[in-house]
Amino acid sequence: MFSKKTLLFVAIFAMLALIAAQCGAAPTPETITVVETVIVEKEGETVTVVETVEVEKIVEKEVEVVKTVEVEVPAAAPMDERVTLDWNFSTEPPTLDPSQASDTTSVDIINNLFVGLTQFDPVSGEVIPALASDWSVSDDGLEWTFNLRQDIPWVHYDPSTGETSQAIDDEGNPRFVNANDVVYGARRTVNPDTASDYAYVTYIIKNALELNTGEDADGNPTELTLEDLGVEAVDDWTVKFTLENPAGYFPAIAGMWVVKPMPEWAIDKWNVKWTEAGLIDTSGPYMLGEWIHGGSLQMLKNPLWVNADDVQIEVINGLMIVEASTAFALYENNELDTVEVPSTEIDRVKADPVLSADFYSAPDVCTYYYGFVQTKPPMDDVRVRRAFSAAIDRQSLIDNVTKGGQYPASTFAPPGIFGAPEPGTLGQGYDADLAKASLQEFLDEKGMTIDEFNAEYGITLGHNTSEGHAKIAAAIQQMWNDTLGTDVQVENQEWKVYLKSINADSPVEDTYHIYRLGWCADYPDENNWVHEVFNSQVGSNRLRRNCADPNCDDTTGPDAFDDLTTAAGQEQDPAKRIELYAQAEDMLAGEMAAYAPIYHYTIVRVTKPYLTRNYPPLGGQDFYNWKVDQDAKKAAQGM
Amino acid sequence: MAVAELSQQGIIARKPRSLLSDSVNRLKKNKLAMVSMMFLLLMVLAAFPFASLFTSGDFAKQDLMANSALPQWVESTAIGRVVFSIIMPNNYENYVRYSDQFPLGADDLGRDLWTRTIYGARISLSIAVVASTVSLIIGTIYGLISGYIGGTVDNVMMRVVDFLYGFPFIVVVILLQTYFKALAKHGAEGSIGQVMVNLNNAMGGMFFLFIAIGLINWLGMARIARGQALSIRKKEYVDAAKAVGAVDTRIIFRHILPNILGPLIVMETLQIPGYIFLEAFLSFIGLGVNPPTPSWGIMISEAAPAVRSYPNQLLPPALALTFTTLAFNFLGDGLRDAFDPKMKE
Amino acid sequence: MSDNNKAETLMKIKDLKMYFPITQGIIIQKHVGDIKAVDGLSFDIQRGETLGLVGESGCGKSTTGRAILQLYKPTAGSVIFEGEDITTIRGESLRKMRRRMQMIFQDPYASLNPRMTVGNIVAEPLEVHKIGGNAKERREKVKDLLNVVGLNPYFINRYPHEFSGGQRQRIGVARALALNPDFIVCDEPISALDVSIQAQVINLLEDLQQEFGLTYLFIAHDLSVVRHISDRIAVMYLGKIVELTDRYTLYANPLHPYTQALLSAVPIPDPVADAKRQRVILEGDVPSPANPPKGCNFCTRCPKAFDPCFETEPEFKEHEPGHWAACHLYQA
Ligand SMILES: Nc1ncnc2c1ncn2[C@@H]1O[C@H](COP(=O)(O)OP(=O)(O)OP(=O)(O)O)[C@@H](O)[C@H]1O
Ligand SMILES: [Mg+2]
Repeated sequence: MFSKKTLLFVAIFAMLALIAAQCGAAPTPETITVVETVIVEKEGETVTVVETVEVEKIVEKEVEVVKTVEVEVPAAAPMDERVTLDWNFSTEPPTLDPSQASDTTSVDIINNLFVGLTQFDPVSGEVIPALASDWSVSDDGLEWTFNLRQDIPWVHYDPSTGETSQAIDDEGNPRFVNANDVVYGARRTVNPDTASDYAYVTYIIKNALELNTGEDADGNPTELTLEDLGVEAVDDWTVKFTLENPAGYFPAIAGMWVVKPMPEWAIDKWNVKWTEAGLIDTSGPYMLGEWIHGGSLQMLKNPLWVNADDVQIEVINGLMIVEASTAFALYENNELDTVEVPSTEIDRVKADPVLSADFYSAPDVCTYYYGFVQTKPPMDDVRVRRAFSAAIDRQSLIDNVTKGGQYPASTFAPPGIFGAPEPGTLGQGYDADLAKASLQEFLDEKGMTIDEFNAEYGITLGHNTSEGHAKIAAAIQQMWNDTLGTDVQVENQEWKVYLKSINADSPVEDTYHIYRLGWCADYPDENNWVHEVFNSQVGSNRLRRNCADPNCDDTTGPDAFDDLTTAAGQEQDPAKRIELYAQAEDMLAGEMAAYAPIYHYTIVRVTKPYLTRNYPPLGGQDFYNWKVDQDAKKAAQGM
Repeated sequence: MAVAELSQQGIIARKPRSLLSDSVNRLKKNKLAMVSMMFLLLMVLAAFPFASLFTSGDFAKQDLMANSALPQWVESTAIGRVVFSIIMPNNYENYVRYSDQFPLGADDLGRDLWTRTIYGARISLSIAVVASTVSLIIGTIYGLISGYIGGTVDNVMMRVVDFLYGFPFIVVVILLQTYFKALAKHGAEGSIGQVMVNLNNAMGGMFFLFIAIGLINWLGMARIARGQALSIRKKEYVDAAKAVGAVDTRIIFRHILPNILGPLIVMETLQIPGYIFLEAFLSFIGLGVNPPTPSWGIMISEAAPAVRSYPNQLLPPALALTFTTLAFNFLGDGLRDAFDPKMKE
Repeated sequence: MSDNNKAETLMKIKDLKMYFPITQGIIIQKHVGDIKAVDGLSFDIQRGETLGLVGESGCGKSTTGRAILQLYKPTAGSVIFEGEDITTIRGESLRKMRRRMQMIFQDPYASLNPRMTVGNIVAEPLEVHKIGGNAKERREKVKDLLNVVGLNPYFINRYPHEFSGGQRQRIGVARALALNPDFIVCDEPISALDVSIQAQVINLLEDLQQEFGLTYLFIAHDLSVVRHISDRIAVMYLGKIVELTDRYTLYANPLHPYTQALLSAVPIPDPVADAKRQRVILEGDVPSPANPPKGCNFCTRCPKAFDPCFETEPEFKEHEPGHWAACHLYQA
């Protein structure tokens, strides 16, 4: 330590004693001082303690105070005394970037971190103000003007110091979420460089489709620039959207994650890393705390949030346990406050006096389905597809396998979505006789036996790796075998790989004949269902309908179904829209048997009595509306 | 010559005792090893020729209505009730159903656990035999050649082994599977890849498993074989054979191989539990056999999520796996003690 | 034993060298030096004689024997057997040549394959060279051979581990005899055996020589054994022959100081004479064959060493008829 040749590094961290203990009184203003860390190198002679002190003196002169900003930050209690929710995200969120998110886990977190123009009422599911205090639409239904609140700050949280601060602009003023942030966010999603999977929901906005695909209607490279996108900041606190067609559901879209206001300065500075803990700037009721990738993600109550007084839960400790059964074991051990009930545990939960009291089951706005890839024989023949769809005994599957009281589906959109048909009335449900007859007709025409059929086509069913999907696949594989005599191979792949292989642009040899997917509502309108998912011109077209070639590099243009959903989206009269969607739903699942709707999800959860939570009608997790009785929780945990 | 004649009679009366027969005698005295051998023999008989005799014969048949059913005898016999009150959660009688179709109950898709366990033995035992044979043959030949030739050849061959050792096993298995599947999809009708994939499907996904496990595990065997060959080839009896004019192949197969095979077989037997677990593990993570072909690994992975409600579903495959691997371990130990008493320390 | 009147040269060894390379490096092996196990030997072996080869452990005796038999490929020099240089022949002709010369090994426990029966061991030479008729005839031949070496032919189905050391060495002898060779290298065939059995084996070898007219290169590390069996004796030190002459001359008039030292260590039966004898105690260790000294190899330990010994290597010369030595003391 004191040898002659020692190179001495003295790192002095200026102490920021800013959060004094508050004695339960109303929050008082505090001063935050931002100080740079100064590193001093000293070379040579023997260094004594006295000399070190001298070095410190020198350093003190060199310390530079970068900026002093005064922001009111209410003090936070020590971590273990705060009201805490123990939650399971089930997986590492693929992204926290609002432009990139396409899965429920990411979206759940993003909706708690970022404010949107609008939000859904937690009880009624109606669109209500959020960042936008009010909005209006022009007479032609094309121009939507949103007036913004001026008091929602951009905040920055540093997990290493536990310090919260408000973001500051170049002039040293605190930043509040404004119209430019909204415009920036929308343009960023539409920008093809961002490669947003969900950009298509913005296609209703003027020029979004052309900008996002880079091609105009005739297939020529676009001449538009992002400035031509139908969104503009009229002033700092007013945003105007211009649409391609009138769309009554637009306020719901305006609140979606892809068009949330985003922090341009942070994204420019940190690039793809901007969503990491300690770098991200957020605007919602929660801030991003520590994020251990693949392990856990923490969210902390935003003390600067406008309605901070209404947010009761201060810390959310989110785990990433994939196996529902493991998470359920943690729940029984009081280590998680609420979890999904795996199907294998439902019988016991319902029979158990304690667990049955925690049990909650309600319809969810999601649908489980099997898609038929229509460029991969024999799925190009409607009779085969119909046979496979009609042979699935949905009720038996629900009663004996999924067990969550799900609803058998014969069409796509579940009840609760505007325009969704009553389940079981239209489309294609279970009908064993029809299934047999339909396949027999195909076999007779081809002059094949069922064994020849199996050998010829080697039909494969793909699903992403999961206990639950595997079980459902095994049950349906057997139903097909019992009813049709088919011999279907079941394969599974990890989620990201799976998505690639079922994409419309993967080589047809690499894709499955039948793929599993689920779809959940982004906003409560049929447009988000049959149109955005299945319209061959709009959605991802995984069914490969109307393809010019088996690899589906191009389509041959819209068919009757596509025309129907497009017309329904543009129709102003609600009654006519419902009628058009009913026709489209019936045509796709019934007449065309393009996919097999299987069931509409239910939420099947157990929740500890000390957690009072809300189930928003459109799904999702609005943590800021929940309450935890911390004392009861500690008592249950035996602490 | 009286003495000589006496000794001659003595010699005639007694059979020559080779090292092998000595070893077999030693093995016969090892009760644990013999019991294990009997167990494995019974297992083979049960799993292969006689499987359909005392099972329902259809391991894939689902009776969804009877999903997760317990066997009827649990409800109707006192012993069943006592045993299951130990195995099962407290209030199990409130939520389980019973069925008399299944001797050991049904899994969560209403498939017979007994039938699946017996047929699952096919996979585990096939893996045990095939993977160990593949690994033994490839590893021994490779190691023998490397050790016998020595010098630069040895050096290069062993560096290849080191290199392959560095490969992450799971990645190799995935690559192999995807590679062959891609080959099958893109290749012409009747191409190698296609033949392989068809074979694999016909074997319920076992073929790639065999290849993968065999291909990886010969590495260890090659190293051991090489080490043994190196030490044996310096023995004077190898020089004696050379002096007599024996050619290399004769030296390798008559002199070196018989002297290293014993320890290698013992080593290989001791590896078998590892292979069985590897299959179970690979099937558990979805890289093993295709559903609905049962293997103990798949059965365990299917039963594990339900363990808090239906621990009884985990028991048949888990116990079968445990006993089989234990039996191979005991047998391996016994073989080692019998063939190579020196290795015991 | 009688002297051979008419000496016919069976084998002529000229400047035989056997170096073992020392290498370094894991992937690319670099040649950094040599172990000069045998470093330039020249001598003749007469038909029907027994040439003894003595020297300390590690001086290169076994290596010499193996190099002569082409079990090692010699680094340099030639081994001329009946007019043909066998260091240059390979493959099938070498295999044929092997029928003419055989070896009996030092360690009776390591030289028999434990997985083969005695019958198979002794029959192996016959099988390899496809002689001795069919399997049954071969078996008879093997039984004869066992008889010849004094083993009960009923042992034919037994395995080596069921025999004593002496019996095993007999099996080794039977194997060496199977091909009816002219020449046998006996590499310390008795040094691993009990003293009581040593004599039996020596006698057996002598009897066989008589019966089959064999020529022996008899290797041993002490003179007492060689003296009994050999006609001529070569003394080796650190890869070189330092003295070579008939056994009487060697004992009566050893020239090389190393031979003298070795002889002084041999107990002689007359206690009085033994007591009178002047013992030469060699000091120091044998230098490493990887790094032999400059000049005479023996100079580091030689009690009579003088200047030239440290400078130049003495020539191996015939000082009296049939008496060869390599020493500066006699050079001039
Ligand atoms: N295959 C080999 N590789 C490298 N070095 C060897 C090899 N064989 C022998 N040597 C070395 O050559 C030298 C002579 O060995 P050799 O076996 O010929 O001695 P020896 O006179 O027969 O001794 P001993 O009386 O102990 O049998 C020794 O230093 C030995 O280490
Ligand atoms: Mg030797």
